[in-house]
Amino acid sequence: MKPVSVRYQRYQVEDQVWDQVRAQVWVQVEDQVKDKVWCQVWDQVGDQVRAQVWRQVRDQVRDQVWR
Amino acid sequence: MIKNLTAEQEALLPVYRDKWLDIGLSTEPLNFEKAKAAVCVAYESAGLPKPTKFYTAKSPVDAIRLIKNLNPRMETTKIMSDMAYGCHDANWLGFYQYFRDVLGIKACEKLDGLIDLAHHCGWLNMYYDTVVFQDRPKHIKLDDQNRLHCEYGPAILYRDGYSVYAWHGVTIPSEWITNKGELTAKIALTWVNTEQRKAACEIIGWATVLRELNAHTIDSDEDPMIGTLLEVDIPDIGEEKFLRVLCGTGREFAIPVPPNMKTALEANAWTYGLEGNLLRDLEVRT
Repeated sequence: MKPVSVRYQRYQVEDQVWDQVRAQVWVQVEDQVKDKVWCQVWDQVGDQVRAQVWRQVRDQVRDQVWR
Repeated sequence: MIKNLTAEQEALLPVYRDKWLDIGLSTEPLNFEKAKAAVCVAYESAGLPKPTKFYTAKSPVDAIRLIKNLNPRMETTKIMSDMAYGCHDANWLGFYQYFRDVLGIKACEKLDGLIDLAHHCGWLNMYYDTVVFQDRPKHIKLDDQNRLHCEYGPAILYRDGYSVYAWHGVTIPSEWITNKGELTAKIALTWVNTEQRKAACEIIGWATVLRELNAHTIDSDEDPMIGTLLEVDIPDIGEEKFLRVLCGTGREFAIPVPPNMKTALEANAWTYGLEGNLLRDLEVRT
C-alpha cells in the first residue's frame, strides 16, 4: 500500500497528491482575484470554519491519537 | 481579474461559512457508496487510476488498526501523516467552493471530488489501490463559544466508543468527567499543564478549591451578593485573586479577577465591566 504522495524536489519532502492539486488551484485562483477579495473570502469563510472545525475538532482528535 | 465582490456575492459569504460549518461538524454516519464515488472523482482529477479496494473504519484509531492489519510494516506515525481529513477539511474546501460557485473560477473544479467527499465521510487514508474511509463522530458537543466542551461525557464520541473529553476547548483526562469525585483540589492545583489545571479547578468548582487552599480574605463586603475578595498562592502560578460571591439562586461561585483589584465591590463591578460605585447604585442585577 503506497500512499498517493509526491516528492517536492525543492523541499525534499513527500506530501499527498491532494496538496499538489490544491496548490495548482491556489495559483490559478490567485491569478484571477485581487488579494483583497482573496482575504475577504478567507476571513469570512475559510478562517471562521477553520477556527471551529479544524482547530477545535480535527486538532483535538489528532493530538489525542498522536499521544 | 476580480477586484471586488458585489453586494450579492458578499451576502453569500455567511451562507458558505454556515454550510461548511455544518459539513465540518456533521455527525451523520459515513455514506460509503457516495464516498466511494467521490473519491474516484478525486483520483481522476489528480491524474491517478481509480482505487479498487475500499475499507471502512469507525474512528481514527480503528483505521490505524485496520491499516496495520492490511500492511503490518506500516507504522502508526506514517499512517497518521498520510491521513486526509474529509469533512474536517471543510475550511479550505468551503473557501474554494465559494470561488467555484459564486465567482465562477473553473480551476476550482479540480477539487470537485474532494468537496463531494467532505459531504460523506470523516478522515481517510488514500493509497494507490486502496482507500480506508473513516466514519464521522457520533456526536460533537460545543459550549456557547463553539469550543469543545461536555460536562457529563465525551465532547467527541465515535461509533466505536473512541472519545475525546474536553472542557471549554481544553482536552482533559476522561476520568475527570467519569469519576468527578476522585478529582481533588490537590490533584487539580498540582497538575503540570496549566490550561488543564484551570479546567480541573472549574470542574471541582473554584469555591471548593479556595476552601481547600486556605485562601486569605482581602476584603469582605457586607452584601453577600457583592462577595469576598480572596487571594491564594497557587503552586507554579503564584498569587491569584478571586471573588467568592453568591449568585441570585443562592449558589456560591468563585470568579478569577485581575490582580489589581483591591475591594470586593471593585472586583464584582469588574465582572460586569463597571466601576465599583456604579454597581452599588444598580438596583437589579442578574
